[in-house]
Amino acid sequence: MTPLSMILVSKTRGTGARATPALQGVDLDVSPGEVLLLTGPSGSGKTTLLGVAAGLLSVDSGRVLAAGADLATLSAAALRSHRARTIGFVFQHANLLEGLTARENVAMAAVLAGLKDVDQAVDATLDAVGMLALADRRPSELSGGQEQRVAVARALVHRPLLVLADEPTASLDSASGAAVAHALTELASRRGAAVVVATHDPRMTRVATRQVHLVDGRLSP
Amino acid sequence: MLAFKALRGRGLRAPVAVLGVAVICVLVLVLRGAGGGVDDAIEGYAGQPAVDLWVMPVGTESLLRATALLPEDISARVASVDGVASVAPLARAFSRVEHGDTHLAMLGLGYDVASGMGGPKAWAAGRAPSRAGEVALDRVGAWRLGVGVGDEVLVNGTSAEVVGLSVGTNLLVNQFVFQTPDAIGAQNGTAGRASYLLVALERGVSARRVADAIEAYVPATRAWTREDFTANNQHEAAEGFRPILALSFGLGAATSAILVALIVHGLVEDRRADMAVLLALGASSWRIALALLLHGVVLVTSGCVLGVAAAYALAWGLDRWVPVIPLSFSGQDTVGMFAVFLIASVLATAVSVLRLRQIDPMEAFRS
Repeated sequence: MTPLSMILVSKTRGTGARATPALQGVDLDVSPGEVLLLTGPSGSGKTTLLGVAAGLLSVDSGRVLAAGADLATLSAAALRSHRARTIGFVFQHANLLEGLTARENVAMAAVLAGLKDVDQAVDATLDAVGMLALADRRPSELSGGQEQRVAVARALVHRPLLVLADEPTASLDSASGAAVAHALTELASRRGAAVVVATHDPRMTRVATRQVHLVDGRLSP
Repeated sequence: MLAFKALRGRGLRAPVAVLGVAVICVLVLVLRGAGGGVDDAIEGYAGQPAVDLWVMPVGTESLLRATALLPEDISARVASVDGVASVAPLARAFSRVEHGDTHLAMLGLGYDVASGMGGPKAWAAGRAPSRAGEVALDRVGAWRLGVGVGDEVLVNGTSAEVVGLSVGTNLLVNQFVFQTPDAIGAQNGTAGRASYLLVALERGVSARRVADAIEAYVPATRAWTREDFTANNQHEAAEGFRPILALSFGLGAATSAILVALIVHGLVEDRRADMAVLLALGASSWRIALALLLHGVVLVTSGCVLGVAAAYALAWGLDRWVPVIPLSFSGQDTVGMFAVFLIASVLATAVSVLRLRQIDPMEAFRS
C-alpha cells in the first residue's frame, strides 16, 4: 500500500483578489519506509501540502491517496477515522496537550486510533524514543527536545503508514534536534512508516532518503 | 476522559466559578429556607392536630388578617352543634413587648391553657402561662429582646414574668407571645370576647359538614377546616415573599449559567490550540464538545454540592447562635435547584460549544 500518492494536485488559498495558488499540479509518491524531505522557502506551500496529505485541506483539483484511501471519496467521519488510524503528526512546537502527562499525550493518539492494548503500546513507544522514565511528567516539566520526542512517540504509537512532520527540529538546539531527527526516522523505519518532513533544517538531510523542493506551490526535484 | 482531562481550565478560574455557583446556591436556599421556615411555623401552629375547625367572624381568614371579635355567647352555641366535641377560645391582639430599651411588636395570643388548644407546638424552655402576669415568648422574640425564663417584660404596658419560651412560632416578621385569654382581654378591654373559637370534633365526623352547620347556626361566622385555615395563613404570609423568591431563584440560575458559560467560553478560547491538535489527530468535534459540556456539568455540580453543604451549615449555625431567621429547606428544594442550575448551565455551555466550529485543525501546524 502506497503511504502517499498525489496526482496533479492544485490548491488555492484565500478568495477573490487575495486568492493565491498554494499548490500547482503537484505529483508526488512516497514509498513505505521512505523519509522524504520537503524543503522550500516560507510560503512555498510546504504546510499546505502536509494539510492536503492529511485530508485537513480539500484540493481544488487532482487526487490524493493517503494510506490506501482516496481522500476525496471519504465522508468527514470516515476521513477523521482514517487519519486517526493511519497518519501520525509531528508539529513544529510539539503541541503536546499541557493538561496531560507525556504518557497520556501518547495514549490520546492510541485511543483515537482505536488501539486495543493502549498501555503496552504507549510504554513501548515511549521506551523506543527514550522517554519512558519521564512518562509521568507534564509537558511544562520537559525540555523542548524531550517534548518533541514525546510528540514523535505520539505520532508513531499507533503504527501509522504515514507520518507528517512540520519543522520538527526548528526550535531545538543541535543536540536535541539531532536526537529528535534520529528518533523520528529510526522509529518510523522500524515500524515501516513513510515520513514526509517539511523543514529548513539541514540536519534533517542526513537522515532523509529523498528530498524535493517546493517553490510557489510547484515541486522541483 | 482523556479529552476531558486535557481541556481543564488553567489557574484559579474553575475554583472561582465553583465558589461563585456555591454562593448563589446558598443565596437561593436561604431565600427558599426563609419561606420554608415560615411555612413550617404556620403548619405547626395553625395545623395543630387538636383543632379541627377554626371559627371566626366573617371577613377574617387568617391569624394576621382579623376584622372583628366573636360574640360573647358563641362558645355555648357552637358547642351545641352536632359533632362538636369541645371548644376553646383564642384571643388575638398585637402586643408591644418591652424589656429595657428594646421593644418588639408581637402577635399576642391568649389561649386556653387547660386544653392546650391554640398553644405552641413545643417549648424550648419553661412552661405555659397559667394566670395573668405570666407570658410565654417565642424563642426568637425572647432572643431579640434579650430575655429568658424568669425575666420581667412589659406587655402593652403591663408587667409580666416570662415563664416559657416557645419554638415553631416565628413568622420571620412576627413572633408570638402567649398569655391567658383573660390577660389579653384585660389589656385590650375585650374581656370575655374571643377572636377565634377552636373546635375539636367527635371522631369520624366530617369537618366540612360541621363547618357548614356552624355557619348556618351562628350568623356572621365563618368556620374553616384546619387544612384550609393553614393554607390561608401560608398564602397570607407568602403573598409578598413568593415573587421575590421566584425572581431571586431565576436570577440565581441565570447567574450560575452565565458563570459556567463564561468558564467554558474561556476554555474554548484558552485551549483553542489544544483543540486544533485534537481535531488534527482525529478527535471528533462531538467528543470535544462532550468534554466541554462535562466541564460545565462538573463545575455546576461541584458548586451546588458546596453551596448545599454551606447552606445546611448556615441553617444549623443560625439556629444555634442567631435564631432570627428560621431556615427550612428540603431535599426536594435542593434537587430542584440543582436541576434548574444544571439545565441552565448546560444550555449556556452549548452556546460556547458552538464556537468549536470556528476551530480549524490546520491551526495545529501554525501554533
